[in-house]
Amino acid sequence: MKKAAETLEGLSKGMDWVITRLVFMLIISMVIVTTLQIIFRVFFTALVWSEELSRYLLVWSTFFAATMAYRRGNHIAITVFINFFKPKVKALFNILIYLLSMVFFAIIIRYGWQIIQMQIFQISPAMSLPMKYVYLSIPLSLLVMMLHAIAGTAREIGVFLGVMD
Amino acid sequence: MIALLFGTFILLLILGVPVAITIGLTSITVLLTQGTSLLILPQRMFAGTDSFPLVAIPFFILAGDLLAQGKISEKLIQFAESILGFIKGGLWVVAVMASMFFAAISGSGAATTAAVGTPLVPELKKKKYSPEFSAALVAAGGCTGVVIPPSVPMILYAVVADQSVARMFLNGFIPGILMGLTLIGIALYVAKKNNYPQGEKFSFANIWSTFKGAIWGLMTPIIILGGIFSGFFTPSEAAVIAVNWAFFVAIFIYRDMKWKDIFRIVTRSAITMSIIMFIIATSATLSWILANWQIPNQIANAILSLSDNKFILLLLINIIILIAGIFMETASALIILTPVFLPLVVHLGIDLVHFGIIMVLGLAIGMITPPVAINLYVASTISNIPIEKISRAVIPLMLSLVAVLIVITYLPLFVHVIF
Repeated sequence: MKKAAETLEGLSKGMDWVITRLVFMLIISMVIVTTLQIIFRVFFTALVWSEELSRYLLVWSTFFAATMAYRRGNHIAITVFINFFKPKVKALFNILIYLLSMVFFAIIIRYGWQIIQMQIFQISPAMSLPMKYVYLSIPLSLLVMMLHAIAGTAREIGVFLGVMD
Repeated sequence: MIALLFGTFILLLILGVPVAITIGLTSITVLLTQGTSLLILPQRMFAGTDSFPLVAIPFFILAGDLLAQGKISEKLIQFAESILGFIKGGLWVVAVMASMFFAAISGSGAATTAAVGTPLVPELKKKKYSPEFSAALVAAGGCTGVVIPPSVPMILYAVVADQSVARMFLNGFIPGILMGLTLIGIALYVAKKNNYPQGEKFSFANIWSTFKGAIWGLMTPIIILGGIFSGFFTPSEAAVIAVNWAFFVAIFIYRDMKWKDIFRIVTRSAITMSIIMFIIATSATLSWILANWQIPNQIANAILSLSDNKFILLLLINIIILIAGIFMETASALIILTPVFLPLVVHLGIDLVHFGIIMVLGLAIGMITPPVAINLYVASTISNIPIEKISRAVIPLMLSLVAVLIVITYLPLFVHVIF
């Protein structure tokens, strides 16, 4: 069990390393695009695609940064009640929370994928970007969260069995 | 169905499921029992985040984090101290003034508390000011961070309630200044009671030399807010200018930031914004459900059947906001409560910008009411004082902010200055 949990943790950590760099580039691109929008509007002619691109970069960085927040346990939750319990009981509650979250991820991944297949021919109004690339951020990022959740569940099972702390 | 919706929501929340996922699972439960296709979920998650006004949120958070890390707040405090240091308890006045000023740069309460508290709390301790009250004052001063523009919660409210971000910002000034003045009043009273000594003597030479150090920081709010209020930039564009300015000051003027720091700050602020944005994404489905089954109208009718007195209902709404602020974090409480209250507020004939200010101010007080009190946690980390002690010291300050909330609620002239 311990070995499996450690392998999954390694995968989750490696994925997070990649995502962190991706998010950094997305945010910096968003800064550059919005800055260009101002420069072009003030000094030249307004860009038609910049606002749309900033919005899509926001969508991408939102969902991918949310996987980082998920791995670090930063998403806001009410932990006042669960903290009353002993570590082993708390581990059981944490496993339940992970399982419920995975149900949510699975449903969004399934229907998110269906939307992409429905949108196959739709393109964005200003940039003519196929919308499937924008929508892809949702199932893809929730797939990453699923990986973090599986690694987290394995760790909590380890805590419950007393082989990890 | 209302029982199912609220039952699922509260059960999952108490269990400790993250708020964003709780909202998503609640939506799924309702949609499944009503036989509606779940395709709406990813669709609304996308539509909820695909918004240009929301682009301002990551930018204001990033700019605030960059400026809080650098020397700007330190220089601002030196400048404020040179002006106000001669007053008894002057360093506390400096703490509140610096909070209000940083609030005009940053859009969040925690960033304001951190920016002002990190350099100032050790100095206050060195000069024998009560450490508990100092920490409490910095935490309470941080509440002005979301009331004085720019403000992340105000952007959220404006997007959810379909109001102008710039109008929300403009009407945040007077309530924010009122909060600051009340805090200063209490701080001066405590300082006088304990007979605190005055700091350095008043000297124009000193003011001038600290002013030269602080000029870059002093210009920041003018750059951010001037652009918005002149109508020259949208709030999202002003936010990106703030980011560029913060990079410029950090890299070229104070030269106190390495590339490694920039990477760390950018990714950390991305996490902060994603926590808020992920809640917006999943609650976009919930607000569709609420609207589709007219649940806010049903709630409004139920409340109106109890009383249709505007004053009593506003009091009731304020109490609900304050209780929500005790248990929930600002952004999630705002995103959940706003659509629920809107029909009632419209029925009562209350201006929606005025209501937005009430909402943001009420939830800002929640930042210093435990157990969920972000500013107290930041102040506790900075000062190494246990949260219980700060919680006790913050009580008079918290009550004074509640008094400001009541004034703002019932005397709309304090809000309706400029439209």
